[in-house]
Amino acid sequence: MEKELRVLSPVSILGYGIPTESLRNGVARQPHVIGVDAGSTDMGAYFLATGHPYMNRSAVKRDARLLLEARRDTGAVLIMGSVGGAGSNSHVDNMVEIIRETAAELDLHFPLARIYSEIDRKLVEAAMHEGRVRPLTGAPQVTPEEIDKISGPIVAQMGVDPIIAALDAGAKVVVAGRACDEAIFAAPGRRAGFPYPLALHMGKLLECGAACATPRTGRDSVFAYLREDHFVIEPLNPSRRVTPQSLAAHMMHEVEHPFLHREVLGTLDLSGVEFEPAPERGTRVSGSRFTPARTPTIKLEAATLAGYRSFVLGGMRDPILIQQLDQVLDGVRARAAEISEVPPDRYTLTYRVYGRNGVMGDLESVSTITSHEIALVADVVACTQDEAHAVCDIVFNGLLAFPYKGSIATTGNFACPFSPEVQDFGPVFRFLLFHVMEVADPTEHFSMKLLNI
Amino acid sequence: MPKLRDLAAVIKSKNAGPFMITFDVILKDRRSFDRVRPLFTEENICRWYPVPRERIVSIVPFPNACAIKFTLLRRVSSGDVGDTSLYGSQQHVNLFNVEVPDEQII
Repeated sequence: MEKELRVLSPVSILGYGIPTESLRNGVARQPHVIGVDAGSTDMGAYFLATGHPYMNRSAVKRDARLLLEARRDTGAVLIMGSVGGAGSNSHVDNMVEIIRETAAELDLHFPLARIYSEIDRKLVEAAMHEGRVRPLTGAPQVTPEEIDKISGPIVAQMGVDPIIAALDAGAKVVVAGRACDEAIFAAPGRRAGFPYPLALHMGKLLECGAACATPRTGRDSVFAYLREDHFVIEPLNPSRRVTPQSLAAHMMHEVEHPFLHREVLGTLDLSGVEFEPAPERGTRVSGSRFTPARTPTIKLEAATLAGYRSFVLGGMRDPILIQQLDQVLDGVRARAAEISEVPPDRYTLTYRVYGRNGVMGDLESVSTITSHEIALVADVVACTQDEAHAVCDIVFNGLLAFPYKGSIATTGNFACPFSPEVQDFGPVFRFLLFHVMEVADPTEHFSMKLLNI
Repeated sequence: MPKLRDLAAVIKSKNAGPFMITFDVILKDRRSFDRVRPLFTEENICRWYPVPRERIVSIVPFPNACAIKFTLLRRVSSGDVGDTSLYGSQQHVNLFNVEVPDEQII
């Protein structure tokens, strides 16, 4: 029989909720590998900066329990990447603790590799001085002196090599910090000697569960067969299909280029990819290519504090008021600048007008609205939480009573659903580092430890 | 004239990292792809989205997938002060009503 590696992708994010029936169908296909991604930069820099896990603990534990049982029943290796959301060391420790607790409850025992991906600021600073660090498109230029502005850790995104090293060491469960999504699924295939372009391409398609299927969702499972000259992906839910179009859509998903994907070791080139129908509502994929880079690069991510937020949410329904919304909002802004003890250069007031351009902001093309009601979020980000609250209080009471021409209603411009009206949100973070760093060895900044669970 | 939404199977927007937003249009068939592909110019994108040309990072057709992708720099990065869509979602709708010229009969 042709050599193949069978890979199960149960869900797009650990904790989103693995459908039990799909998982059962996956287990029945006897996977060698169960891979699951648990993070992204999509949810913003907050989780990286603070160390708070992205997903709710009980939801993560429920999915982890199902996967540990699936691993027990099949003997597959279980690989989790970007755990906790940002893949910081505290996120990794938290995930290991959840696995320990679950394994104890199920009386399961296995070698677990914990891979940290935080990288020391001093190392990054030195690499910056040596000219080995550059921003990715759109990211700010950051000088070595600005490293001090980072809130929380710097994480580096690992490729396949640190995961391969963990498997070589005998790990049956791998809990990886920040990792390239595709590396989670590509590492065992690379290790088993399958062509790297195919393994990587398969990983790119599997990383979001059934997001590569149709109907599309990240909250369901798919299965892949990696072979010498192609791979096949099929859905595990009978109501879905994996089609050339659904795969093409996912190949383009959340990347800048549709068919050239830069990763640690080089560039995956999917321009010549070919799709053919396969059994079980699946699709066969071949023709993936790879161009190795001269020097491996790892992506660095780090956050910086943008300020502290307070906000108030409310609605407007009076058409005379809605017609003059801009005059009211501008007037309230001017009043806050005049009467607040907090000078305007210490805060940013953003009005989010839902029913007009709250969703698209400057990208909105509709300029005249006919909305019969408006939701307004007055969003204040200031240098301190107290300042944000003080300004937001003034904005709120201004909105409530600001006069406008021709008003018939004489009290209350602003319908608030909650008490207290002004909410303190806490710190706000933005990404400071979204850079790549040239490295001599793609494993050098990732530290692995084998633990007996 | 048909609209882009009539010829497309997928029209969507999404973050491509925290500093870019990417738009994917996948056409229902090769004929539709060939028909709409010339519309995706810098000039037209700046008409559909009120952005200066400097914010266009790339416009790349992907014939094997009957797809076209273009990517813009974000005004503010994902989750930063003033951002309206953390994931870059729901920014695709300006493309729905793009008018596609009728096919030339040769």
